[in-house]
Amino acid sequence: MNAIYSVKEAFAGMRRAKTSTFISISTMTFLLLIIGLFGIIYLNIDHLVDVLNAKVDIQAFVSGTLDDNEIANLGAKLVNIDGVANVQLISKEAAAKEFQKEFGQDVFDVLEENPLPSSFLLTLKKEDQTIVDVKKIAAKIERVPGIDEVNYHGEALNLLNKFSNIASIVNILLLLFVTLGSLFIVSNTIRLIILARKNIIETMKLVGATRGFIRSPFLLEGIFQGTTGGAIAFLFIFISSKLVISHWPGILYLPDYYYFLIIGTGFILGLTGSMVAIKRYL
Amino acid sequence: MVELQNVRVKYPNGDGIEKISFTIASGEFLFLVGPSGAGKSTVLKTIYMDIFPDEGHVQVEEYNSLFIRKKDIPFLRRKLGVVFQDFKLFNDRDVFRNVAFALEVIGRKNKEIKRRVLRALADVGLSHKARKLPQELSGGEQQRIAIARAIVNEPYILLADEPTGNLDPLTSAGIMDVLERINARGTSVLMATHNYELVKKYNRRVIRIENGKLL
Repeated sequence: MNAIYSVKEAFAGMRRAKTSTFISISTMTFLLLIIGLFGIIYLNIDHLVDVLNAKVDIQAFVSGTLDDNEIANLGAKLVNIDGVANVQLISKEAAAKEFQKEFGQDVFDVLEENPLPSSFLLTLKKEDQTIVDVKKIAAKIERVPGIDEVNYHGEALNLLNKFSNIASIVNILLLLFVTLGSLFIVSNTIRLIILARKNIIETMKLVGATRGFIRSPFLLEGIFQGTTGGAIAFLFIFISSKLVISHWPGILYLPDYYYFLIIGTGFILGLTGSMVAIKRYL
Repeated sequence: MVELQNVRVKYPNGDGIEKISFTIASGEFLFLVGPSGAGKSTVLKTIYMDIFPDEGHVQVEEYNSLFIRKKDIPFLRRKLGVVFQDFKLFNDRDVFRNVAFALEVIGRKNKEIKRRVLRALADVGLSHKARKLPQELSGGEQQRIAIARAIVNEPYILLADEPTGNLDPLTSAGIMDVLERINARGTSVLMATHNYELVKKYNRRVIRIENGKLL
């Protein structure tokens, strides 16, 4: 197959259908910007959930009847529970100090004794930081003899995870909708180009051009439109995200691979859109 | 060799062809004569395998309509040249590029394209019009360009569907001269026409078709 010929024909085709190619690239840019924006929202919610989940600890309060030795043994038991990464003992004395820090008053001044129990602060392994895992692990800890009570921020975590799940579903639906729109736009432009070149395609078939040879310029046109749209959307997002980050550092989570993902998405949408048109109209 | 055996094609509206059988030997010049709508174009389409018979089969050299794979059709067509009444030239490129097109799309090298196009243009007597656009030429000249494009790949057979249909008698005679010259060099020619007067002037084998059947 003559690659130079296909590239030349692809550009000639776009030159002949200038207006629809321009509209297609502009629409692709706009849709990819929307896709990019949804992607950023999704990425940042997900990142926030990760960060907050990582801060979820379980606090297990120890029964007041245990002596230091028994408490140490209890700590060893807790660290062996599945999903627990780290166990830190907060002694009665440390709890009292914490009380003073929080309330500005020594607990002994108020009550003449220290009613605060010793407790263990348990950090969970990263893969077990979902709400379901936290609940399961907390239940296990609660069953350990010597543990009186278990605390974790279940409700807040629950709410955050619910919000993140709903946001993900809405995001995915919108992404699907916008993606279908992009495919329709590209395939429709390619369809117009195919129709405008009906005679040339017919003659190509008659003189023995292979299917691949006839199709390749249209595929290239779709790829060009998608990738150009992706590249322009990339520029917009790159510049505006850098501006946002320079004004408010740390507000946006945006890994470098994300920019290339936008160009890649443009490429894939362009390729798929033209393939749909070629399959239907050629 | 081209052979049609009991070929039947039925279109949804009931038209078509039936029990068409004939062969074209290598180097033969054959007229397929019949009124408009008799099925001449359908016969030609079964030979370049644009449509396939509902019954019977068509053999073109090593390709058979019953067994040919879709991806082999372009290679069958490289052994055929096809010419139509309406020329089917591209007005956006000059005569040279129109003829070269048939070689470009099958991936021939530039040097070979140049040599073959100039040869084909010489064969139809239009070397001096290579840089003209088709719309700057007369109808007869445009048909000669279409013939040059059809023969530039040195096909085994030239299929001409009413090549003189749009032309006056004098110009038609010129086209016939070109076709005879091509045939004299060994290329088979199958020419479909409704012009009995033209056919009578040439002492060639004639098959007649009417209402989709051979007479």
